[in-house]
Amino acid sequence: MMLVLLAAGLAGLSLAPPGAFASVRDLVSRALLPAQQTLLAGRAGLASGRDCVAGWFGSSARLAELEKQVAELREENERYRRELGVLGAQAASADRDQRLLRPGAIDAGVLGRQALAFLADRRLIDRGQLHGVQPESLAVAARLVVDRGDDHRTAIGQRATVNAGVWGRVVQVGQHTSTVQRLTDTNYRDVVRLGAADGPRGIVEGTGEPLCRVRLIETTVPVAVGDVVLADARDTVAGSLAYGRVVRAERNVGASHWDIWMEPAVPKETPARLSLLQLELNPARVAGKP
Amino acid sequence: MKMLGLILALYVAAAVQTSVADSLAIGPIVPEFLPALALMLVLYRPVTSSLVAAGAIGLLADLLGPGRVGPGGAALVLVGMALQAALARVGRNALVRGLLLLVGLAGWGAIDALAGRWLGAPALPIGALLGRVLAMAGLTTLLCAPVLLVVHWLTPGRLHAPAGLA
Repeated sequence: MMLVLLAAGLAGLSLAPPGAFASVRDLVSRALLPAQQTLLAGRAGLASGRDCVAGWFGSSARLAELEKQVAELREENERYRRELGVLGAQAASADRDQRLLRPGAIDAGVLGRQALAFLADRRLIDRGQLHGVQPESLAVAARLVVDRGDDHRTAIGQRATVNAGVWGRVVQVGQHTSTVQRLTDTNYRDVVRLGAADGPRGIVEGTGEPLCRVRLIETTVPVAVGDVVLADARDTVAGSLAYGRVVRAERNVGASHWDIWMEPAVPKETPARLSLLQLELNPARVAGKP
Repeated sequence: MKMLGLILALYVAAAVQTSVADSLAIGPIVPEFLPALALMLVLYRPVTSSLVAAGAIGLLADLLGPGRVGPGGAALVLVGMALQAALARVGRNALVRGLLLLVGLAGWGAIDALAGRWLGAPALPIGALLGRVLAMAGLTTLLCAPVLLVVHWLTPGRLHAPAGLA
């Protein structure tokens, strides 16, 4: 019964005006404030920790994903690089395989006077092959004898080079030796290109002097000091070889061609070794032919 | 000592209700920890003083809420009386107490909501209102289940305590 009265009394409180318990509500709210703040701070801390952990896992997952992508891209690049190398080699090979003539070079040693005397005494070379060669002279020789001859497929007309610069040409061939004429020799002539591999064609000629002359370059063609002079690529097959550079150019009134002086690209000193450029038939082109 | 423990539990329940309960809500369904505390007190100390305490806890819940002061307290006293009567008949194991807690919360919620509707508070349709009451009772019972089990484990001697009805 008492409890029923209690319930009735509590229910009766609901009939009080709405603002009757405002002060009590305020008192209760203030009493709970410390606990509420503590709980709210704890909740914020938990949320922050959860976000941190989620971010850490997310960053780790993202990092793993990016590392995987980087590894895949590297592998793909490496594969493309290999394929490019293979394709490039195949293209070059195909190009080479299609040529009729293939360039080559053999290394030849220049024979000094003692070597020449020795070989002559043993009749391994004819004194006639020394035409123009003065082994006793200490001056810079216009012709040299090298230790490559017919036994190494050396032929007249093959160019002799030093470090990709033209030194001269083979003019005599023996069984074991050959004679090489220097480009500054008075009888030396060759077709050249001025300025570039596809530049205007002219003739380089030796003068017996340190400088060579380049002729038959028309005055309508611009020429400047420093222009490079190259061997005609069609004639070399191996590509452009450097003859030298223009050091002087004059255009006389009424003349149809330039007067050009060229300094050779090779050193003035007699070299110890030369490279003799040779041509050979491409076996792929002549295969099956008698 | 027991009174101090009860006051402390009440303080904590009130703080949790007013600061953390919204984060445990599912949509518009918010758990009610103060009525749950009152009914657990009634179920584990089935004496008259528990019903008085339940009334006071209900009054505190009304003061913390936006509605009228009083209907919640009255509802808890009446529901508590019914629970104690049922407890004497159906047994006192943890599952029974849990179910009685669920029923008690639903009863309290319904009485409180209907009283508020009668006193002019804006309310939902009856069906929606009762649906929310049942959902609230279920959610609160679920969240209080661990506490219920701990309390049940801590008071084994109360299993056969006689019901104290006025």
